[in-house]
Amino acid sequence: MSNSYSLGMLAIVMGIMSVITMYRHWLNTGAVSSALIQWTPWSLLAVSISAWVMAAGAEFGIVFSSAFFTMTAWFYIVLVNRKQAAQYIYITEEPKERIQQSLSAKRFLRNSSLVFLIIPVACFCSVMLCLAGTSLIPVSETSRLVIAGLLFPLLWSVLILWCCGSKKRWHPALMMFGLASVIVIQYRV
Amino acid sequence: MLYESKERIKQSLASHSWLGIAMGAVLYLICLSGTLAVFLHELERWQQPDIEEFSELPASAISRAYQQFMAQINGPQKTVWVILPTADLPRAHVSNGDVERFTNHNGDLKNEPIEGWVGMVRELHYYLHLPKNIGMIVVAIFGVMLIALTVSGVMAHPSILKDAFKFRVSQTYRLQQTDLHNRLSVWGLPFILVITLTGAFIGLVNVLVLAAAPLFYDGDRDAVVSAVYGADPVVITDQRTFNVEKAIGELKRVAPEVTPIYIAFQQPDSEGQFLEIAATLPGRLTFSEIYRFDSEGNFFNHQGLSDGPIGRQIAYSVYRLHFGQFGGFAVKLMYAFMGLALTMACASGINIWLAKRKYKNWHNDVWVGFVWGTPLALSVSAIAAMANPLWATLTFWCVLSLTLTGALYRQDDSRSRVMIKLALGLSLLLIVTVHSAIHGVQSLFVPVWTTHIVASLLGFYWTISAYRKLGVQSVVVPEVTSA
Repeated sequence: MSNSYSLGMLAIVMGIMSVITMYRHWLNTGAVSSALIQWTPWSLLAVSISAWVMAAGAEFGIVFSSAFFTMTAWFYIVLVNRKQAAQYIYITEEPKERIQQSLSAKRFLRNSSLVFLIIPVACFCSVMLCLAGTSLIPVSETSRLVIAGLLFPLLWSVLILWCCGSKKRWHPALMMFGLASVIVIQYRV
Repeated sequence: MLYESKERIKQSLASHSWLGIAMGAVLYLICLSGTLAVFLHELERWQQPDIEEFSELPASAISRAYQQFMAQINGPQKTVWVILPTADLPRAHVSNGDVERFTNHNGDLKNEPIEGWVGMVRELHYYLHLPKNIGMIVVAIFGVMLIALTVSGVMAHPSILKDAFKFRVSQTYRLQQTDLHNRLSVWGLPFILVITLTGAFIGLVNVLVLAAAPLFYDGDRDAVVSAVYGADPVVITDQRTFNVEKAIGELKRVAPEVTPIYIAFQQPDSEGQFLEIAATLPGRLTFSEIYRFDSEGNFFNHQGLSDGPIGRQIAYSVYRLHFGQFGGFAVKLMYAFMGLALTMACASGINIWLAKRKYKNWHNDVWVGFVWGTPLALSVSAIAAMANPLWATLTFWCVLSLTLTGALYRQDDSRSRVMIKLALGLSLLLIVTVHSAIHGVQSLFVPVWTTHIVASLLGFYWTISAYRKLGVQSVVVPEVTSA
């Protein structure tokens, strides 16, 4: 128990030190710095993660270390900008001209139909690609399905971004539909 | 290398804006309700403070609760669960999925759990109050959109390292919102990815099953589910009773380090009946391990959720990871803080888009009405649910519609913001007053008084700050073009 406590304290201290040294290094960005200075924050972070893992186990430790690092960074940002942060509530938007603009039905329908096309097509394509792709991985059936389940939302989001970023949004949608159909035919025949 | 192509950065920014504007409001709703959902157990205790609480339910009481429950319901049951008291929800209840009853420490059946406001918040986060099958997929799609927004946000942010510690909150409104959005999102990246990925996995499992069944399992969906989570055992017995005491004793022998969280009486009163005890393991994220016993209480196997195929362990760990239900109350606070940060990132994203425009129109009004109207609607629905638990959902949507209509009618977003904040502050104070009036001071145990303190502090803060702003002109910092 006391060993876990000591390791937990070490993890906290190293996490804080990591953020502080990262900030000091960030302040001197552009200046010539040695490899030691460059790698110190990351080394401290690695020590912090290791200590968290030893104190709370691998699963809890990784979650705790990443959450603690994030929260320390946020608090430190507020701390180093505290003079500005104190004035936070007084800022508001500049006065702007108010215009009367009604909802453009044509634009709304065009964008909505695009959303209703892209989302299911990208879903269809990503789920088929993931299931087909993971069937080639030499792991257990359970793990294949779970890997597909975790990759599928990621791939889906990337495909949506591809559509959104394209000038002609119909083209990626058609390509995705074609690709997914080929996979379905391949497996069903 | 990621930021070498200016065209790609431009495309990413366009995608980020397009998706953010299209999805921002619903993402805000999901994130805000998710932040509240972290404390669902505590809020359940606050909602029904008069339920008996205890830390342990003995085996005799479990059997008694099960027998009383079976005597009260008709027809064959697939499963009856006795949910045991835990550290964050120290009360027990029995359920068959449709009917649910609390028990006292002897196992006697007591009141029914009230869904009320807590149920409304849960349904809002899980299903957006849509029918369950559709709602869960819709929420998961928004999870996918959040992943897309995260990826495009990183790709559209070439100064991600240069701006890592910048927080220009006292310069212009646009810079303030931009820095708030970027700092919260960039440093919160691991949390955002974990939450969105686990949330999308939970919501999209059914889609995966639907797609995998015809491809690999001849259309057998149950086979896909069994492949991931493990199949139910086939048991044949003449016995029609359960020896719970022996099963609990066996569990202590087989896995002394685990903490039981529920007991499932599977297919009771049939030849296929058996007993399952779900238990959490120290230091593990897996929701539980399920230990199986025959009707006489003899251990025969476990489901392998903690030591089976790695895929199964991951699939069963996503729940605790998504909802922050591990490691005690400190983890819940951490999750709530990060959830609030994600909610603020959603709101500030749209604020940036509005601030960049050279004019104001109905978008500004709707956004203010929505952002501040949602917590107001949550708060007022909590009051309404104290009068009648069935009013929670209707009140939520009515109040939200009213704030949107009011903000649109007023056409003054700054004024609308102050007015809604004032109403929000007052409604929070009213929650404390009404709850204390209904349940009295004798029910002031920890979750109740902490909820009251938090609601009172926020209520006073918003009431006073909004009241002060009613007659005060805000400070405006002119836009600096070089920034």
